[in-house]
Amino acid sequence: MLEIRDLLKIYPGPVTALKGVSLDIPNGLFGLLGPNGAGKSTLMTIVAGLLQPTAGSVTLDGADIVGDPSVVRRSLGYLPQEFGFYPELTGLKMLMLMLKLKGVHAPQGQRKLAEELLERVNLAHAAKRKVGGYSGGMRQRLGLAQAVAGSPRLIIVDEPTAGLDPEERHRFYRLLAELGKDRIVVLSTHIVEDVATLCPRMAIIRGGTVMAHTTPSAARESMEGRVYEGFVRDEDLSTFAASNRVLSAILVEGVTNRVRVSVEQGGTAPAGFRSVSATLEDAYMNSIRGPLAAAGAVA
Amino acid sequence: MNLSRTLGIAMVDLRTAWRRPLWVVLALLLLFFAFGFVAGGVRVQAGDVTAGGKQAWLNSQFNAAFIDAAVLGLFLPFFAAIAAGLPLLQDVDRKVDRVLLGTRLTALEYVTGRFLGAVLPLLVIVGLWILMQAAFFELWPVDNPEKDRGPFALWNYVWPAVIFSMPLLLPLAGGSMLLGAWSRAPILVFLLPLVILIGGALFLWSWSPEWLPYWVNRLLMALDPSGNRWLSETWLKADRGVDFYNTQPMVMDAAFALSRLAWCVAGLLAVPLTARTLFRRARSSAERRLSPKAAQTIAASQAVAASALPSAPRIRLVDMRMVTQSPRMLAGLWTVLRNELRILLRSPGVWLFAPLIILQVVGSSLVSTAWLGTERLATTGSLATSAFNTLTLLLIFLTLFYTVESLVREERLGFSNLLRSSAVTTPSLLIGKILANAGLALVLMAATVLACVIVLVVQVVRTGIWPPFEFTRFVQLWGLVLTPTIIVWCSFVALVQGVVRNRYATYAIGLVTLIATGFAQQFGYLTWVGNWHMWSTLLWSDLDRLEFLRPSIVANRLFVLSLAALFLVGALAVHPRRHVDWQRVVDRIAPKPILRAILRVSPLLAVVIGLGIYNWIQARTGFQGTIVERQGRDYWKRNVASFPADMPLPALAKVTGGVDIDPFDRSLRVQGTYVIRNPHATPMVQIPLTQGEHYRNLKWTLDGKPMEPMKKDALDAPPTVEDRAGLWVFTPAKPLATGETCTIGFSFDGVFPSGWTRNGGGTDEFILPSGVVLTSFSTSFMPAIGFQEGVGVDDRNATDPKEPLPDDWKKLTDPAFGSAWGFDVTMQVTGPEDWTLNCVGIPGEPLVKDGRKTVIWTTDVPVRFFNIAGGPLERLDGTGSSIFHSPRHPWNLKTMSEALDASREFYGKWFGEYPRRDLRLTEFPGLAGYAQGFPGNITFSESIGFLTKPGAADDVDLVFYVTAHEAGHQWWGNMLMPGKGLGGNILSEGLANFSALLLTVEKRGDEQRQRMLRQWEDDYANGRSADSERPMVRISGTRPGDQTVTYDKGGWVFFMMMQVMGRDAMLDGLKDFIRTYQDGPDYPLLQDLVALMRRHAKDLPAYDAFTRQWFEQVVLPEFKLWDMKVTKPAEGQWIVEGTLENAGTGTVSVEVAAVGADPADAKLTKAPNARATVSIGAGERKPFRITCPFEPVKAQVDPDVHMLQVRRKLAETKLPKA
Repeated sequence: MLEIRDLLKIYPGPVTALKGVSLDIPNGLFGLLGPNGAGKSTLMTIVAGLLQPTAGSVTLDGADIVGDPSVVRRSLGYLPQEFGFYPELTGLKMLMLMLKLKGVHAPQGQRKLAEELLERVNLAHAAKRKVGGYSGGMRQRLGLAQAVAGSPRLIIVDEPTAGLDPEERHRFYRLLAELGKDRIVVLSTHIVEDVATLCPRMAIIRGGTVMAHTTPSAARESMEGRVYEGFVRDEDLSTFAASNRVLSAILVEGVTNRVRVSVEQGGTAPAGFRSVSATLEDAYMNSIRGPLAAAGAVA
Repeated sequence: MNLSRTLGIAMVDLRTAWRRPLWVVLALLLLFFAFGFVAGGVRVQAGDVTAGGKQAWLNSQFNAAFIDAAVLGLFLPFFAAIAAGLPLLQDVDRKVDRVLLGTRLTALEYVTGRFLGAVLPLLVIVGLWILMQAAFFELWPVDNPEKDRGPFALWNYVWPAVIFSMPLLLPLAGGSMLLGAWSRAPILVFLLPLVILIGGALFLWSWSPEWLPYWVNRLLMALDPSGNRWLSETWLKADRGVDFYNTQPMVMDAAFALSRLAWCVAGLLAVPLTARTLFRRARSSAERRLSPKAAQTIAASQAVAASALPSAPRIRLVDMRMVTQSPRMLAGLWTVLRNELRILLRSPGVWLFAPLIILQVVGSSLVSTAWLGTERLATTGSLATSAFNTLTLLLIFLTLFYTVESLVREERLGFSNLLRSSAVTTPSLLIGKILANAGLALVLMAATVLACVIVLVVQVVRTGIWPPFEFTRFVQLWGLVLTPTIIVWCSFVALVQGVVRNRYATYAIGLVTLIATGFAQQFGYLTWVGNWHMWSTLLWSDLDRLEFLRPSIVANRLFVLSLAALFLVGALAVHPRRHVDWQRVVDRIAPKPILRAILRVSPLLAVVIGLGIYNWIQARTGFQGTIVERQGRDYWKRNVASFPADMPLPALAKVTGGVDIDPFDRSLRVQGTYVIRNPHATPMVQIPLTQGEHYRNLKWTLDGKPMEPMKKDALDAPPTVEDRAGLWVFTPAKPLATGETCTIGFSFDGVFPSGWTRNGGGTDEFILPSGVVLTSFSTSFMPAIGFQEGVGVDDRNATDPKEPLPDDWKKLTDPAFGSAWGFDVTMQVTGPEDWTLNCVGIPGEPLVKDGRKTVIWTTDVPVRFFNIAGGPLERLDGTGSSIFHSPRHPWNLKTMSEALDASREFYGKWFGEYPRRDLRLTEFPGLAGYAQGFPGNITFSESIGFLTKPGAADDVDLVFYVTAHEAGHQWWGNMLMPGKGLGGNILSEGLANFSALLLTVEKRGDEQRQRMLRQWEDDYANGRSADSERPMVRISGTRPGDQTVTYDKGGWVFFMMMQVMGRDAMLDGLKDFIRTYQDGPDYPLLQDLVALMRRHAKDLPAYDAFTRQWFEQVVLPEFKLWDMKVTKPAEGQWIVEGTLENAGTGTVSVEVAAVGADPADAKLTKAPNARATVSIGAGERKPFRITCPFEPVKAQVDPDVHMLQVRRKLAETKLPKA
């Protein structure tokens, strides 16, 4: 169990990135949703032992990560949001170096293991090419290979599907699902679909505060009957948005917007709008568009 | 090019320039130097150094140039390269360049903006430097403003700053930018400054042998962007006098001005080249650079991969059976180390820096010189030592750059989070990186070994000598001595980078640390405690092999390694494995955790402090330490007034001694007696003797009665002895009447030299396992008669020498060295059985007992001073001489023996018969580089003669020359002891040089004489101090430039004197001179020689004119040829006409020759020449006409090298066709 308690992080400025975040994350895939700048990466970096919080604690199976970050390094697979490799090394050599640095062994030997991992992320064909020549997606897959190496107890993947094509994204989903069976996998993203597809549990974070700590289905259900869809002309949208909680607005054919709104329980839908089934994205948008005081909903 | 966009890019840097650590540090550094130069009195080396003499102005244009060239030349390159080269690479790393170049911004605008961002702050700092200089030089209080400052002129600061900064910083900034953009390797950004430092400061700025053709010298000046070589060679090397430097502007010649312009243009051209490079790199990808075949293969494999995309994974993670075990410290370290080394060795830097050091080592080793301008024969040990400084400097700089870049590499590449979150331990990570960068040292050491091998190969080709190649010397000197320097430095850099976490700040702090160390080194503040880099500390001797310095080196290296461990612990603590929350750190500051942290490192701290204190105590208590210094000052303070150096001293009538030497524990036991006589007309009440600081258990007797020192200020009845801070003053029961004697006995033991040196280097006298040198000039093994001048004297209490009255030389003069009266010596010398220990006199039969050999030496002719020298030596007998030498140095023995025998034969004929039975020459370890001509027992450092490089067949035979010079001292310094006074030493050194010159002509021919005189002339021109130089009869040996006057000018003027007098008359005169003065008690000065030689001169007006000019005045002709034309009035006849100018001083008659073309075989036949003699005074121009039966190709002043002059190379010109 990964336990995060009252985590506070203030950067010089001062900028408060985390405002007392508390989360319990059990085995399995855990989705961390939030808009850009919500504090997700700060939270992930602290959990990975790379950043000291201003206050609060993080423990992994009871071991204090804040006090002694080396405890997490032995059990961590980490794929940061932005990363690079030594460009002059080949993919295979780079991965082998990572295996050595992480202390990952296998009966078949490190080289064979590296080759298998590369094959698993569909990089076998580029194993002997220099990493400097990899595309963004290839680099992302190599990052993933090193993150899953050694079957770590805790895997943190921060915005992992950025740069992946749909095919690779699905391959990646499969891999994460495979991993999430018996370990903690924290998936930080702002792509709601990733979480909806993969994660049995999730949290939504906004402005350094946990807005919701729930399951995707519970989040969806909480919005059921409150989501309406209709059309609003483009020039009327800002007036409309001022008096309604707009969840999304998609411009159709450059003239009119397909708009989804949420209404309070028992509230009235705008004229011309019809009730639709709620999605996880509706729940997410409702959370991040609502007042911060609504934080802390747990299901 | 759009100016607005360009400036927009420049403003990125300019906006924050004022607070960037790099600029702040550079500005502070220059401020410090501006202050330091004024406070430390650093200025152009010109002017009269005596109290009240004319001084070089602080604010003259030449003084500013002198300072600018050095300061800007050394520091600007690094700052310019870092500021211009790295930001571009940083943009590439951050991919900012792609974003920027995706806009309307062109590559040229972008690079120009970056260039301006680096160069404009540098220009502002140069401007600040000008203001700081002006403020300090004009306003800082100085002792004597009238003499130290001239009228204020801002231009005096601006002009040199422009000349010495622009041609340096523009190409450095542009070039470093280009190199960085081309290679994408930050390390290459530092290539150019290192080339300037290693190639310039350690070679190009100072290397200028006499034989270097003028055009090559001009070319080298143009190639030096710092301008240092030009300034030195054109203006400063040959002193032009303080008036010139104070008042004249620094005028650039056209060639130099063009070269400056070319450097500036080159720097500016680098900007578009960089833009072009960047543009191409930005648009090329890895794939594009692949060969078509490789690209096809990759495309095919990708196609296969795409077609074979599996819908389900073929290998499940669980089937891979992966396990994670935290990598152990050593395993992790090995992984990091291997990876770092792989990256390091792939970087182009290493392969560029290696040739740089090879060039430097080969270049400087092939031209290194020793005593009397002789070239030194290289051995493995001497090469390893002479390359030590260069190698250390280069490695320190390189490891600074490599360590910082290695520590920031992961951050640059975006790999840091992956690496830091991995399980590898921090020590593995950091130590692995440090060791890898220290491993860089191995590559460069290997390159330096190769350089040394090249030197040895060149040497064997030139001389046929191949000294044994001892690889262990490299291991000893570089492996054991240099490596700790690199480790401590890398650890320090890692600590700094960990604390400041900014590569620019780390570079700035690193450079400041190096500059501060250099400053401390230069001004003598370093001892074995602070000398972490061992720069200029080691002194190699093939005989001693660092035995003398070993204890101090070991302790210093241990101290440095402990310091490295402390830095490493600090670096590990602050190494950015995770970003610290400073609020949390501040909140947790409390005494207990701090105390706990201190306690944790306290064992290591204790070791560091303990070793530091040990080094400090040893350096302080050693024979060069502050305690001995203080004892010396006490000695001087207590006695200088009561026992002045010129007080009448008693004469030694006889010396009897027994010296038992144990070289393996550096000890000696001495007992002896001095029979002392009063030679003066008045009774002698007191007899002062000076002891050595290393004497222990010193006991005295007076006429056989033991003497205890009086209590201070007691008034005991004589006979008494008083210890006056090391000066023992004996008062016999009754004053010694004229001619009366007494006997003073003494015994003591001691270790000599006692303790360590202060900061490395050598020592003049010593008892060591490799050899022994002890002389009666000092108190090393016998007490000295009287108060010793120079003991306890330093800058604080030094005085100008006493000025004699014009006719003082006619009075009775004391001898320059030793006793005024010859005395007999009987010396029993005991040492190891297999050693030879030579003393003055004739040896008795050796007595060997218990592994110890005792020999009693008795002088056959009275001596005035004596010595003991020897070691485990072999003997080579000539016809009239013997050489005692180390078996390690067999190469020059034949020539040395020939020179000794020839000296005995010819000097005997020319100057008077050699009076002693034996003439020995004894080699000693090169802990000092001198030779001393003790009577019949010459001591000769291994560094000269034995390790003098024999020249090629047509070169001057320096081995022969240097031996002949030292043998000459048996006549000039022994048989003829000069007087103690102005000009006295010229009779010893100048005449020894003249003797060696004559002997060289006799045995090697006149061509060698010409070469030797040209070399002396060059040394004199470059070594003299125009304002301080006094006439030869007033040379004291204490002023700058006196040495070259004594040796080089002395030898030259005696040679010219021979031209005036004729050879026979000259030799007759010199023989007469020795005969007249050899028995004292009046010892001659130079005027005595001039007066005596006059008796032998045939043309008295010519003689008088010559001696007045060359002995009693300072003159130096400088000849120039003007308006040269050639006509051909008839077939087979040519007429050369021109004007000769004497731009120097003196009235002389000099030959001008018209020289024809070289014959086919120039070695067999000389070029034809015809001559005219011109008498010319200072500042005069005189026409001349030469008729010749051959077609002349050049005109040459003084073709036979008979006239001492300055800038001889300019007194030669090609002639036009008729």
